[in-house]
This record gives sequence, C-alpha cells and structure tokens, in this order.
Amino acid sequence: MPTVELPAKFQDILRQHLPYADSGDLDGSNELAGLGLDSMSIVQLLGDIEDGYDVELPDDIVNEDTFATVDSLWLALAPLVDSGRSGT
Amino acid sequence: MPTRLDDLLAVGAEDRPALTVKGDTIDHGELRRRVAAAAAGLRGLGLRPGERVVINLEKRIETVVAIFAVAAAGGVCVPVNPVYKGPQLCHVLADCAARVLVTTAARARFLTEADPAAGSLAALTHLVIVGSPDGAPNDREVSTWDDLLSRPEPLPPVPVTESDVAAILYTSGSTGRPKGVVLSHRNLVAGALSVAGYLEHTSDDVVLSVLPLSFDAGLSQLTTAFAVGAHVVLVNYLMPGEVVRLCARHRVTALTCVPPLWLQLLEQDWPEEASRHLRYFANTGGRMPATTLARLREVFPSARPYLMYGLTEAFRSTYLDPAEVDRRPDSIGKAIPNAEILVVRPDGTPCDPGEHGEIVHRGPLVALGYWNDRARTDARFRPYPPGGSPTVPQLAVWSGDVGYRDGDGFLYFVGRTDEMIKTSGYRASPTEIEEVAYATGLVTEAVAFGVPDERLGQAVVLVVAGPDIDVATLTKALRRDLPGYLVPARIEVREALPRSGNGKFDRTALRQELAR
Repeated sequence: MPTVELPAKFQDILRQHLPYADSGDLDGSNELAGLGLDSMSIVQLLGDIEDGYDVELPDDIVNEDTFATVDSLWLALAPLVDSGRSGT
Repeated sequence: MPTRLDDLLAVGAEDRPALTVKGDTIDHGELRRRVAAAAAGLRGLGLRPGERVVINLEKRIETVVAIFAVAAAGGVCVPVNPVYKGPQLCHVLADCAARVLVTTAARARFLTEADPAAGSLAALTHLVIVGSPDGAPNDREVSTWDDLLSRPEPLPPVPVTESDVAAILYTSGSTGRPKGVVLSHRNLVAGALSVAGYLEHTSDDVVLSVLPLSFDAGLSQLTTAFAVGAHVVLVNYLMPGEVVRLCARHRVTALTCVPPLWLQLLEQDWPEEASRHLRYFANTGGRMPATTLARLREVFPSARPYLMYGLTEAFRSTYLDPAEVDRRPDSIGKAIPNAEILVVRPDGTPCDPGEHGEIVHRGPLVALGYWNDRARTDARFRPYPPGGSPTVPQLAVWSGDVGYRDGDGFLYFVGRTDEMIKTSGYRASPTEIEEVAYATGLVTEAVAFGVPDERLGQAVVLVVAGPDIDVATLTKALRRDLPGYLVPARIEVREALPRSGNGKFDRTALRQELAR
C-alpha cells in the first residue's frame, strides 16, 4: 500500500464525524464505518467537505468505495480540492 | 430439531456461502468452525454459563461469529447498536454486568472516559479486541480475536437448555434508560423457525442485512437465514446506492428495512439486475406509508411485500399475508406461526371487532423479562388470561401498544398511550435524550418528545430553557453523546418550560404546541 499524506485540514473535518477516532493522526487504512461514520453523519460530512473546500462533490464519487477508508476518501477528494493539487 | 441458538448453524451445507462482508465470504462449514473455536476461546478466558458478553462492533464476520460463539459457550450475548456513543455503551455494560466486551481498539477507548454515573464496570474483566489491539485500554485483560480462535483444546459441551438465557437486546420504553430484553434460546429458535417459515426461506435465499444486529428484526435476519442454510450479506449502511449495488452483485432475494430506509432506497435508480432476484421485501419498525408501499411494488414488481410488526419483548409478532395487502394495506396482519396476538380491554376480556384495546402477545416467543428490573418486568410481563390459573401461569407481553381487529381478525396498530418515541424504526424514551441534554451542562430545563414526521415516523423535538443557550453548541454536544437517530431534529429554546398543576413539565402542552 502506498503511503498517503493526509492534510491536517482534511483530518480535522473528517474527525468531527468519527466518534471512535482519537485526537492523534488518523490512520489512513482505518475503515470509516469502523470509526463510527454512519448514514446520518455522512450527510453532515459531505456538507462540511463542500463548505470547507468550497467544492461540489460529483455524485459519482459519493459511493461505498470512496467512503470505505480514510485513505480512499482522501484519494477521491484530493484531485477536486486545491490542497490536493499543491500536495500539502 | 434445534434447541439452542447455535444449533441453527448446523443446517447450512459445508461449502455453500454463509456470510459475506464486502469482498470476504465464508461458507457454512467455516462459520461453524470459527464459532466453535471462538466458543472454546471464550471458555478458555473463564467465561461461565450465563455470563454476559457485550459485542460492540460494526457488522463484520467476527460480529456474527461472536454472537453464536457466546451462545455455544453457554454465555449470554449482548449485541449493541454500533452507533451507540459512550454513555449508552457504558449503561449497557454496567446494567448487564458484562464480563467480556468484544470490540475494536478504537471503540474500546470509550472505557477510559466512562462516566461513573453510568454504573460500575467492575464485572468487566476481559476485552477481546478485533483487529489491531494498539491503543486499546490495558487496565483489563486484553486478548485479540486471533488469540481467541487459536486455543486448540476441544472442550466438553456446556449444559444449556432451551429455557436458558441466550441474548439480551437493549431497547427503550417510555421512561428511563434502555432496558435489556432477556431472550431464551427457545425464544430465538422458535422465532427463527416461525419467521423463516412464513417468509418461505430456503437455502437458495440471499438475505441482505441492512438493519443493526442489535435490533430484534436485524438479529432475526441472521437466525432465519441460517435456520435454512441461506446466505447473509452484511452491510454497514452508509448510503442507499450501496444497497442497490449489493442487491445486483449478490443476487439478493430478501430485503428487510424500516420506513425511513425505504424512502431513501426509492430515491435510487434500481436497474433490473438489482431488483430481478428479489423474492420479497419486508417492512418493520413502523407503519409504511401507502405511497411508499405503492412505489416499492412498482420498483420490485416480482417481489412479495411483507408488512411486519414486532416488539423486542416478544421477538417478532405479526405479518400481513402478501395476498391481503391490496385489501387492507394499513393492517399489521395476524400473528406469526406459533404466536397468539390478542386485543384486550383493561380487565383482560377480548375486544370486539373495531374496538381499541391493548395488544397482548402470547406463546413461546414471549421473552423472559427485563434484565435486573423486577418492577418493569412485572408491569409488562403478566399472566394471560389475568387471574387464577390451574397451573404455573404463562406470562404474556402486555405491550402498551393500542390496536384493534377488523371483522376478519386482521390487526391494526393505533398508537401508544405513553411517552415512548418511535423514530427511524427505533424506540426511544424522552429520559435518555433529556439526561444527555442535562449532562452537557448547557441547559437547566429539558423536555424531549416525538412529533409526527413523514420520513421518520416521529421526529425528536427537544425544548430547553437556560441562560445563554447556543443551539449550535448544544447540538454539537448532543451529537457527541447520542447516537444519530436520537439527536433532536429540532431544538426550541424557551425562557422557561410550562409546568402542569403538580409542578412537572407540561409535556402535553408542549407537544400540542410544536406538533403544528
């Protein structure tokens, strides 16, 4: 598995919707459902990502493959958000 | 004939799929081997018959193996809703005096911030950690799931009869914190055979498990599938599109959901390959609106609709024969096989057709009562018929649900006479929401109740009073400590809450005001 750099901003947005994540760096391989993401919080998470990055998420990335793990979510988002392009 | 919960696993063919989660599938032979190994591991930890094992995991292979392994070890499994937050989980652990907690390292961290007000966790001596144990609290004996499965020595069978306790399912009433409904092996086995019978389950069925396994109908999907050697596909429900894709990928034949889920599923496109294999769809956990039912029948033209009603205290209770759906779409049907459902007056005499009364459940599915709660057990579990009996009286569940029967004996659910909230298919008491609101320290007065809601059945409304309440801050705090389905859909701030003559909050006035 390649190591994925997870920007702090992304982690901060995501962590608020993961009741079982601790305050340290998120482990990218962790499953989001395992960290407590549920069908009710996912709607808020989508909103927070869109607000936080000022993007509109295309429907075709809102699926279970994107929302499988911390890494898979970031890998889908990175091309859509500025910090992904600059690599920070 | 199966007598114990784990006997239900004996049916499935060795090499046929039993359980799928994401890309992993195990067959019935492997499921039996893992259950036997985990049972031996639990006994190796010192688990004695009748001791409680709480299972707090999202849906995974291990979750299902653990449920049946605890039963095979003679223990009592307590599956909790994986969306529970710390306060609810600690309440369950303390209330049932759990000896073992099966969980993940991330979920176990709640223990380190356990609120002593939730009760003592002194009985909890062992953690079994699924996945990496890194970061798990280490003030108790910790084993990994792999350790548990690697104990080689076979053990003699545990003496367990069908009347022994197999499981405790936590559910809410009209007041207080969630209570543990105590189910015997017989309750679960009789329930599985009854429901698998009327749903006509066969070993060719593929059952999609969308509901939580901590919920009677969710657990029943496992038992009714395994009872005939069928295949269960588990999903941790995040988004409705995944359900569509899983139906296509696994050729799902059996789908059971609660009304708010159906509404989400109807917003999806259902390609023919996803709907083609569906043999039935079943609704539970609240009345399905007529328009929802009509649209589902369009989307699934070849599937039979089953409208079901149950309450945890009697495991499962009624269903409407699909052939009757057009004639009486509002009915909850008749008793499931091997159960009797009555509608009675306060003195216990049966109501006439059309006359409203309390719904009473009889038969082998009637649970053993509430865990460690004599008063509530005595109120809900009472003899039927009331009065003297020439033998030891059989207990029935006096449900508190109000209903009636039509001239042909079909049952209709009317509502409740108490404060219980039904939202998203869950039961909730106002107390459990109000307690968390008070615990935030942000409010001095709080009243929660349900108001009619098209999507949720009822939506939770919280009315609060106190100095300088910021609704956004309060909402954030409630989200931290309440499972999503209990987070109020609406919060109203008042200077003070109205009180009735005896000084209590006037819930009726508030509800009437806000239901508009």
